[in-house]
Amino acid sequence: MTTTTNSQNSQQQSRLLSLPAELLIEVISHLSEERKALCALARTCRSLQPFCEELIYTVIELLETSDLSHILEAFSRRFERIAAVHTLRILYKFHKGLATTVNERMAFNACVGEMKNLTEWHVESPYDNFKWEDGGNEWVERDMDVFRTALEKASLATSLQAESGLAKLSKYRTGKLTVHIVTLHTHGATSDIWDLGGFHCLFQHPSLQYLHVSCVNLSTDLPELERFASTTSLSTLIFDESEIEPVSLKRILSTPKSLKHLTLGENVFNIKRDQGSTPRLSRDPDAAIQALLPVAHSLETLIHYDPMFKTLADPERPRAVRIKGNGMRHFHTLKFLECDPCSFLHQGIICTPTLAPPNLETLRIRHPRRQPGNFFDQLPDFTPYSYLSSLRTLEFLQSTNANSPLSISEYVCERDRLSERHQAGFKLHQQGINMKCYIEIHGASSLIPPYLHREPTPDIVCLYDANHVGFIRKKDQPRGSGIEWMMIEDETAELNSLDILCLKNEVRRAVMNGTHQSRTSGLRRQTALQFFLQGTEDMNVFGMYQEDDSDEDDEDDEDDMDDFGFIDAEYELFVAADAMDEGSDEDEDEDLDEDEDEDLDEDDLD
Amino acid sequence: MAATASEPKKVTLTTSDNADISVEREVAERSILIKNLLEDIGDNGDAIPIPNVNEAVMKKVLEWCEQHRKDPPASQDDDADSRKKSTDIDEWDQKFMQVDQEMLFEIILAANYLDIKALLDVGCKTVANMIKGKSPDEIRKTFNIQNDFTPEEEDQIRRENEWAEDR
Repeated sequence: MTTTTNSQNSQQQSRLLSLPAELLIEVISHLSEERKALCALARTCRSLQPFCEELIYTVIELLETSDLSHILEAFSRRFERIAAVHTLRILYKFHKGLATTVNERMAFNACVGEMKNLTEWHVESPYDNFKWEDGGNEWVERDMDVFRTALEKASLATSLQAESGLAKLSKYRTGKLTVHIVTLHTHGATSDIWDLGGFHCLFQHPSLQYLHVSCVNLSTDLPELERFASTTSLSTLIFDESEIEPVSLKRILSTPKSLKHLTLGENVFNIKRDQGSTPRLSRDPDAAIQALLPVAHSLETLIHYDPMFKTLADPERPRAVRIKGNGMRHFHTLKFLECDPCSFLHQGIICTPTLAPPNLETLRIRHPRRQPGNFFDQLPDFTPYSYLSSLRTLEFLQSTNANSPLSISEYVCERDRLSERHQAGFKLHQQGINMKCYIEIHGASSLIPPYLHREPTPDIVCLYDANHVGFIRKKDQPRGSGIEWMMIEDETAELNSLDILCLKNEVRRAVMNGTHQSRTSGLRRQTALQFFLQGTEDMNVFGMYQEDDSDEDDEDDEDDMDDFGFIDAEYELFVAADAMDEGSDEDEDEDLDEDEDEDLDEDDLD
Repeated sequence: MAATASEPKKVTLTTSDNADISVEREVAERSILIKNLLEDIGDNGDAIPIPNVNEAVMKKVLEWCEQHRKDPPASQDDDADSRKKSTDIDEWDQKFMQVDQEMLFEIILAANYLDIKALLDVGCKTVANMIKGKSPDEIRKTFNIQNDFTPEEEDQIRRENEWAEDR
């Protein structure tokens, strides 16, 4: 009875449409991953269309320039769609006809400034990876120029002007980018390195919190930034393959109110043959430390990629560095530091415990790619690190191009190597420091930072964790004194055959899961960004043992192995970096100064 | 003082159609609205008026609360995104939601009014699932929506949003 009356009522009015707006939005939000359903729902009636399109247009990922005309048409039909964009990823694929798309690109670019709800903006030039000669100047002079203007409009400079007099209101007008996250991978008009130029507005942006730029030339002073000292909200700053001079770095680091995470990626791999490597920070360590001082009160994680090792005759034994003044003694919040042994941070700060950050908990020592030797064969002397009183975790990170779980596990867990490692772990354990060893597996030897949209990022997997392996072992007691036999538990650095076998299996599984997971999840990019988005403070938790799959039997493992291109040549994979890099760049290690060449980067193209 | 621990505390709710429903306090407190009311006015034994929900709907809502009385309270941060992205519903809830549309929407409105986030979610997911996999026409039929687009307009919107459809 009631049902009939109800359905009669709903003849006049749809129950769905009579929901209050906030509940209607709630219902539709459950479809945010269902584009087809959203598009169908948008077409049902005028009142549902805006709610659905709010979600349809939230994320725009431009992979092909051929998408542009459709999106432009859609924008021009309903302007609200422009305002709906929260995330914009401009990732056009390079093609020969790119030059003919410049008008469409510019029409789209003009909309960017109107995306008033844009919070995440990712730009990769289609001319990256040495294609700029095919029209890259157009990208630099036109596309990038519009992007700069959009960012400039939102920069503090404009707001400061706007605040004076009658213009005050204008700062609340639409068309102001309140973006929080910007990633910018581009190049110069005729070179792979681009000059910051007018893009110093990035460091004046009031709402920007996360900035990742690559291949930028920061070799000249930026006096424009002086007015913006301690004004911006920037909390994460990442440079990849950039030319960072202390003078400009200091200007930049003066602008955020409290920068937390900093990656100083100097130009390590992307180097022209005739120029060679120029370590700009490690060669001037005092100025480099001075440049870091503006963020001393807030910095939590610091990573340095340094080309210094390439300029040294014996990178295994870098010269000691003496830093004047207090060093990093006032970096009270710094918890995580990563560098290689040749970096000024290592030689000048870490090896001089009185200058070290007083609360450093985790130190990660990286073995640079393409430097001979590896940590799994021999660990460096860890004595200096044990003088750091606050240190709780010491991590060694080794890069490799090898990706066969079996050969990695055989090598890493070879009895002598493992025993030696565990002995080191035991000594550090006795001093209250947990030792971990990580492997960084690169998808292809030719890939270098920044890892672009279609390029796999390296997988970082933990292959040894002293606390996880543990030091408590049951020990057989010789028979006698009336007791048949007994077991006692003792703290020891000894490992028995079963331990080694178990570890081998664990390592193999960890490598397999590490590479497999990232390969299938499609989330290989922007590890740092993911951490930022999750609001995770722990930037150092990149890889872990994956123990949850312990029931997986060996047969399955063998099946999966084919996916990784199982390689028989076991040990030589690790021997030296030059052996790891196949073919084209085999000669480069002969002469470290001359370095990587165009051949290598040609490989990057695919 | 003498309140026995063994006897579960009960509260009485008066629905919009003046029915009194007696229910264990723990069950009723799945509703944040009722929980806050009880905390504010204290449990003096008076019936609590729920003027926006009728007896039939209230009973249905309390049936859900009974089933989920021991659920841990949803935390504010981790649920926001993961909840929204899926339309998965657990089996008991799916059966529970097999009701006519009138009741389904009444439950949603009641869950919203009574502030029972998890039930509101289940309700909204159920509606979302009724939308999934349907053509615009089928959606209109399901929810009694009047098409106020001309065929040309509808086709135009289809073409405009087409770029997004297969992503």
